[in-house]
Amino acid sequence: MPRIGHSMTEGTLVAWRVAAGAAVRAGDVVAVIETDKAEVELESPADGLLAGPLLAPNEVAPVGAVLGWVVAPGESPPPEQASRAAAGRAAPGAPAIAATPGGDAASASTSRRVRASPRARRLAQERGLDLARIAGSGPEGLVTEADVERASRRAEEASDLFAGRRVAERRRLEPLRRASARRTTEAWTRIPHIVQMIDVELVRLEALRGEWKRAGGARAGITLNDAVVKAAAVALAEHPELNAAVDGDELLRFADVNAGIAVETARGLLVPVVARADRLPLLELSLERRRLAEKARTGGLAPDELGTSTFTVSNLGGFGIRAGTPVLNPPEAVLVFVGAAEERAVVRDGALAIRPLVTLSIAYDHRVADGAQAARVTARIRQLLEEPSPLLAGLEASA
Amino acid sequence: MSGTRSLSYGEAIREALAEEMRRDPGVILYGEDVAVYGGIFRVLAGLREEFGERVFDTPISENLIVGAAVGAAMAGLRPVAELQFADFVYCAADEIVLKCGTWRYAHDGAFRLPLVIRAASGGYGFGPEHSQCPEAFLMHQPGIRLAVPSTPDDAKGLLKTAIRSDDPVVFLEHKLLYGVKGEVPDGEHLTSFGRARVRRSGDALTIVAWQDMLRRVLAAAERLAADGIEVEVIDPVTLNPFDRETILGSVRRTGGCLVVEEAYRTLGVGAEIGALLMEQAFGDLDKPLRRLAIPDVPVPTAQHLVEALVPSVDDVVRAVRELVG
Amino acid sequence: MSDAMDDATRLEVHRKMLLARRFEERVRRLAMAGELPATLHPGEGQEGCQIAALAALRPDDPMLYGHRGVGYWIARGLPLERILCDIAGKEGGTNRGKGGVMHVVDPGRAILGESGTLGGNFVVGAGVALAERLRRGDRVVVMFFGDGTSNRGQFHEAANFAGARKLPCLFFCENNGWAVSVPASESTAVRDIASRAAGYGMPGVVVDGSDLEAVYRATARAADRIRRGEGPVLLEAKVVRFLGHFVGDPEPYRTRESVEAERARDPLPRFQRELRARGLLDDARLAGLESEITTEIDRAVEHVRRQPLVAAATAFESVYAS
Repeated sequence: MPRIGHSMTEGTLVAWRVAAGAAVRAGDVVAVIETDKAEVELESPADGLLAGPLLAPNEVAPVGAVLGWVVAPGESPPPEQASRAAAGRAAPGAPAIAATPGGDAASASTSRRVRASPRARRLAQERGLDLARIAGSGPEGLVTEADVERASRRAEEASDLFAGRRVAERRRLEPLRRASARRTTEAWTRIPHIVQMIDVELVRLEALRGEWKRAGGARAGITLNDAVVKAAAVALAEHPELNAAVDGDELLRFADVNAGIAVETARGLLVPVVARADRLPLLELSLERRRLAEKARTGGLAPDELGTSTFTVSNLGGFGIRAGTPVLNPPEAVLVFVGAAEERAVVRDGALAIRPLVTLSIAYDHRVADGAQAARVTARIRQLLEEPSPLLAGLEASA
Repeated sequence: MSGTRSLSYGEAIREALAEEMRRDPGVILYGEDVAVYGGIFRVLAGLREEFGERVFDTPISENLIVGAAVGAAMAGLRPVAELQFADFVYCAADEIVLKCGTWRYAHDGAFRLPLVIRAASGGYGFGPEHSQCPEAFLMHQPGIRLAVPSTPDDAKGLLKTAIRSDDPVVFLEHKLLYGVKGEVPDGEHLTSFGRARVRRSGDALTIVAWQDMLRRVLAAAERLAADGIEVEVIDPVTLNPFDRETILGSVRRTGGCLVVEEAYRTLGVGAEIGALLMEQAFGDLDKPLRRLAIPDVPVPTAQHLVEALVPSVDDVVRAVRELVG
Repeated sequence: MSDAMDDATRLEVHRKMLLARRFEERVRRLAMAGELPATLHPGEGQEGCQIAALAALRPDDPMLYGHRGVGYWIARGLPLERILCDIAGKEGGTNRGKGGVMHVVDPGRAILGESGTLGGNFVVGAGVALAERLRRGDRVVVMFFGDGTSNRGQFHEAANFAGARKLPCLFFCENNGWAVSVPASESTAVRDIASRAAGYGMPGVVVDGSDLEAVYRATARAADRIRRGEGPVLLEAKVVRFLGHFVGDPEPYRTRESVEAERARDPLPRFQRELRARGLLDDARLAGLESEITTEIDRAVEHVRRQPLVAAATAFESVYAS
């Protein structure tokens, strides 16, 4: 039973993916184990045959316990240790799946370091290949340049089909998209999301924006999105228990309310940060948002202008999207998705009326907030946008 | 002037000495059994007759033989001193390392030391104290040039260059090569120091060897070529100056290196080449460095015992096959 | 050539001896004060012998000197500031920090340097003599050495070769009875180093190193014989080493009293008495000379203080000629 994370003391064997007696190669997934945090796939430490006794599914075993054996053909596990494995007792320091001593299996069992020549390492990195999955033909099993070349050719040939579908092109994700893929996967799989959708009437706000546009100057550039950022920041400042994150068993409250603004760029999605957006007058917030968006598109963002947001605002209204189910930007607990502002037919005082409206879809980390807590923030954001005077502090003075 | 003649290694050495002594009256030649006997390996025949007192015998006093070369060189002569056996480098270690190597430096270049120490190395049948190949020891010392000719052509060209050099040169002549014949260019023929020769080209592996080990490596290369394995064989020609670039350039192509030397393994020339590759070609290596050398036991006397220790053609073939796979 | 010093030579030997004595005293003071490295092996007591011997040789006779004191260089007229710069590792010396005070060199003054490992002088010097012989030159190669150094193998190899080939070598032994801390009685099988000459077919001559007239005469005679082509000579001068092996040597191996007793053999006052007796020296002239020497030393020290340290890049130079 491997130790995954510092706090882990025991784990549960969820299932064996390979039957006892089946051939496995180093790196093949042989079992799934569960810790208090996650399910993890367990890889074979060596080439050989999976041999019992295996720990039974749903059994709990302490870290260091033997779960099963990988043996060379004709070999069997040592009886004394085998019985210990079946009992799920820890053999201190033993690998999760033991390999019987002798030959390459033993040397490969505990070390994750692949024996490869420096030249092979360089080529593998260039081609995006995993050295651990390449068999070495050099002295003492060293992976050589020629081995990587062969593996690279095989990978190319195999890439014609992916899970049965024909593949037109295969390319490595750019670093930014790779990071984004990792983050969204983590957010989607590990954070319980709740999404609340609410319609916001924009009569007052649109009237104000009409005035600012007519007057010209910097105020003319204030967008609906700026107002949403400001409203959400103020609402979170008023509800600091949601300007927060979960870290293991702890709830953290952030010291600042920093707004992340999702910006689409040629390299992928970037989220530059308007720091302390709750305290920034709307016009300054807007100017800062414009500056950051421009820098994001030209690639000039400084490191401290990224990665410190405590909530995020994302806007696809320009595409006519009305509502969505956004994915949180970890470790944040709140993401406001802004839909298209449009005139809609609404019922007012028992009659149809036409009003400018926008729908906000706000995702919350359910571990941070229950539904009612979240709803209070959602409602407060709507209120601030429909009756925007609290958002306008400092605006006239600075105009 | 464009022809060649077939000469033995020993004849080529004699010819180089005779030509340089004719050319420069400052060249003198001395050592034990040099004048009348013509050198213990009899390669100096006729030089006493032609050059008279410029060719003379000395007592069995290696400190004196080398030290006097330093003094005579300081005084403007170009002495060529013979130590008979390369093992005697250790008898005259003070004079070679500290006088040849540092006298000029300690006195901040006040003198030039144009001298050559000839010594016969390697081979078998002479026992532990007359069979040494002290290349690594000499290469370790600053201030001393070190030539290791492998062919009659280079024996002549390197010795002439050594005699004309203004620095002390230790010139190691391999005992088993004295009788080996090869083509030597007619006329004035000088071989540059510090330029390795690629004796055979290939992509499978770089092999560095010189003198008798070079002969064995080239024989092994023939056998390997029959199996389609083409190795590159580099003869360093001189070990100080040491042509690192040619070795590095070859290894950058082949990705591997084997050093074959007729000397003790620990801290041999192969160890130096290994360190060089780690420092300057690490990312280009596709195979571990291999050294074939004498295990760290003294060289015995009986030929079959020596052959059990010294790298053989078979050893080279086996090592290459292991590396190239 | 007369064997005896003439008056001009006597005055020159005296002046150089006094200069060497005072200069070393200053070097020791500067070393104790930390201004100079304490690398000099003091030659006090032996400088007169060195200077008298070199006065009996030609200025172009190649010299490989011993490591005790500055007398050899002062005898050959090397300026004091060049010696000081070598001690201090400064520009303006003869070897720019490479060899320090062990390897002061000036080919123009036929100062060929010194072997750091003692005994190297013999074999290198034999080579210089060999070249001289092959070129039919008439210079005498003089190699100074101590009694301790005569126990090195190189002494025997070189003496034998020089004797066998009648090389123009003067083996000049300054026997002070000490090899660093080991007395000759413990280390050396013979009382007179000169007696070793018999084994190498050359004359061995013993002379009192405190008697500069005798040193001069013996050296002149030996040089005559060598120049005539009759082969090498081993000349041994019995001298006194007043000080320790190096500046700061605590000398646990001998008593202060025994050294003081040896002071009676100091050649400086003895030579001064002889000069007075000959009417070549009086109080006024001595005082004038002392003051002249002090000024010369002061000037050299001031000069060295202004000189820059040798640049670090210098360490990479002069390893090879090409």
